[in-house]
Amino acid sequence: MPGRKARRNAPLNPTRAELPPEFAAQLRKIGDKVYCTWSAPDITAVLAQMPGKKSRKSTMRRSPSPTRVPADLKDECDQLRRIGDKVNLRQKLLNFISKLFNLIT
Amino acid sequence: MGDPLQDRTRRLLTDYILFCARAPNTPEPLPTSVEAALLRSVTSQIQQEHQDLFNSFRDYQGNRLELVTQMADELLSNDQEFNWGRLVMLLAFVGTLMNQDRTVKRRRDQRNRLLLERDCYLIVSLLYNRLTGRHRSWLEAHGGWDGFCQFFKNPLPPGFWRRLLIRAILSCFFATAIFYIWKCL
Repeated sequence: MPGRKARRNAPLNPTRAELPPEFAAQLRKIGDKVYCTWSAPDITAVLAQMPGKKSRKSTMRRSPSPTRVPADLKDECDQLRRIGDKVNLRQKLLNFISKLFNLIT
Repeated sequence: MGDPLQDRTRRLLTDYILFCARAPNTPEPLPTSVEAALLRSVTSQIQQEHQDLFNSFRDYQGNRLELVTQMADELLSNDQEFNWGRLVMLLAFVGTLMNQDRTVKRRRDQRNRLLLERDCYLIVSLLYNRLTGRHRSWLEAHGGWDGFCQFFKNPLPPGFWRRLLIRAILSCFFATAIFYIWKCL
């Protein structure tokens, strides 16, 4: 490409260090990400770009259940929700019984 | 002066997450509030009771924040279905994720620690925003963290005693029902 060739052949200005455009774009992206992470009230938007996601493949292998898929996770969510409701009900019952005992005694 | 509910929520979440994510073989830090002490005991009891469910998430090294967000979406979807039991379950789950009992390769320890600290901050922010934003009205309607302490003031009895208690209640119920029917006839 002539433009790229011309840029490559252009004399270097010693007073100003030139950054490659990819590097600048990368820096901008990292800056945006850091800004979002530290300032946005809802951080869910930056989840997709989290570095942890990159290492997911390797970590999934290390994880105790390598076959974990979203459907599987959904089951676990349901299970947690059910147990949570049960804990809530049990505690309500317990509070009711203790209130009853307090009334009697 | 800041909002008391926000302050207490932030302090409680920070205390709990840092307690769960502390390095192995380090002494337990003292709880910073009554609700923090209660939350630790309730969640540890739940984690023990449902070990099978929680064990698969121990020493999880993937994207913890993504997982917690999904769980929070599912468990705390709206105010109508929100309750203390669900909140405690979510926090027990988060505590398990942050727990680093079995450390992985020593070479990666430092990196893991840094990632864990970053996740601690992000998860505290996520839960804090959810609780003081979407569920603030529910929390206020149920007495805030004083209401939480009030709700869990009677500790759940251990398995044997709980079964015994349920049997006793059921027996009383059936005895009353039989007595009532016998009287009516």
